[in-house]
Amino acid sequence: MDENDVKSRLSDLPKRELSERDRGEIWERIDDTLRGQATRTSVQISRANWATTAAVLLVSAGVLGGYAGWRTHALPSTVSSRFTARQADIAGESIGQSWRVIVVPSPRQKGPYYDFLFLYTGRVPATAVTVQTPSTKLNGASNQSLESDTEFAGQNDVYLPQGPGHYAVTFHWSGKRNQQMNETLSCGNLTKDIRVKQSMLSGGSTNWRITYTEDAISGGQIGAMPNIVYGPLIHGVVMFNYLASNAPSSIQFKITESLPNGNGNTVETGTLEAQGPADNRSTYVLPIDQEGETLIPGQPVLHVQLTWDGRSEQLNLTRP
Amino acid sequence: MEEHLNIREVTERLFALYADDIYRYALYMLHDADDAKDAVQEVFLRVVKSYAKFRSESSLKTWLWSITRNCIADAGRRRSRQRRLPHFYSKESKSSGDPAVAFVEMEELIHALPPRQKQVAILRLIQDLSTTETARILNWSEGKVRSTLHRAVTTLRAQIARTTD
Repeated sequence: MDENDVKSRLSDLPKRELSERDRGEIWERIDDTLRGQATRTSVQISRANWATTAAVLLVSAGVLGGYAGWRTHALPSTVSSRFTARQADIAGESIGQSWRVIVVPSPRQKGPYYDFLFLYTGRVPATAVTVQTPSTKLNGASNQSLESDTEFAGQNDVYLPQGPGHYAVTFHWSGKRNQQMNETLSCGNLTKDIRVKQSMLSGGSTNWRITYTEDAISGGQIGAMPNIVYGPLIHGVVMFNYLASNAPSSIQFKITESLPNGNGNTVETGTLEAQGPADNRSTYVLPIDQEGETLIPGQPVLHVQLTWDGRSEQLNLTRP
Repeated sequence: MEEHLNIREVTERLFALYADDIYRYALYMLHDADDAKDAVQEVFLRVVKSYAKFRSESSLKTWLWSITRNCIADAGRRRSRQRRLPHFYSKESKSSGDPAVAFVEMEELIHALPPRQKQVAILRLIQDLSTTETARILNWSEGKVRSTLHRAVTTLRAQIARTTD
């Protein structure tokens, strides 16, 4: 078999498609969001707001990371640290007989966006679990059991302009002797024994700033359940340039980790494209894939080398 | 895509054109039909949320596929977060004599590829995207796309040879 045979086999694979029903259901949810979008244009991040968004992140990074070179004098004085402020913001859990719903503000999205985690706490292993939220339905396979104190899926970046108070989650599952069970939890009255620790790593060079966020969620002891710690969860690397001239549209990057033995391990290489405004401060999101992300949290230092227009700079991202 | 289209029109068009392609890609990457459907939904919700940030330097198609790639990575990350969560695959059965078995086996071989090779093989050979488009979506050089694709095809050849021995 030669290479062309392999390619031919791959291109001959059946074209799997969404069923009409699935298409309809998915579109219905998108349509709901589009309707909501039409009534909340004020929260969209417009091109003009990009600099402010970047500034919020920059100041946050400056406060948390202690980097001496931040140009904070150029930033609005009213901008506070989003990340420290939000630790005291809405974060909590709704506790039922067999399920817990943990709610935390989304660390990725500015505005009323929330992350939800669903945790099974029933004594009998659950099978055929279905979780119905206002925006989606999550299914587990019928023949797999979910042990007690196990996280079952979650939802990220749910837009709730009124807060999570009206968000309700219904769980369906099969319990002992296949008895059909269900429980609905409302997030209207959250127990506040949950803590969210969001930290941001930061670094900089002459023309570049870099931030990198992660969070961990922990809860107090409830019943037989031990202290829970989730995370760290990684939310990606965001870069900003402070170049005097227009931002380059294409920058080569290489991300390297320091290994305990002193050697470097290249995590990712590629090209960045500006996602911010076409002025002298653009944002870039570094595309670190799954393999890379699993490597980063335990490592003390990350190096990012950037090359553009024949120039090169290296940033070191150190844990605060 | 015209600049003056509003977000609804853009989303409708993208959904009509690419929902199935994204579903197929998600299915290969996540190996779970329900996760793949969730991924399609998530991709288009992100389109709605982030269209204001879209810059016309890249094509809408490349932008959409970049979002797709990120969504799939997030879905993978959620899985790794669910450390104690059992796998909830809804694999199709492989009954003997079923003419679809060869296809299913081929899909299993693709799924077994290392993540980067899998991404490239799906985008280039199944979704039929060009090397340039694939490079832009993955933020790689075209050379890296070509070399990774070559490795993927070599791996698949070896696997196919092993299964047919």
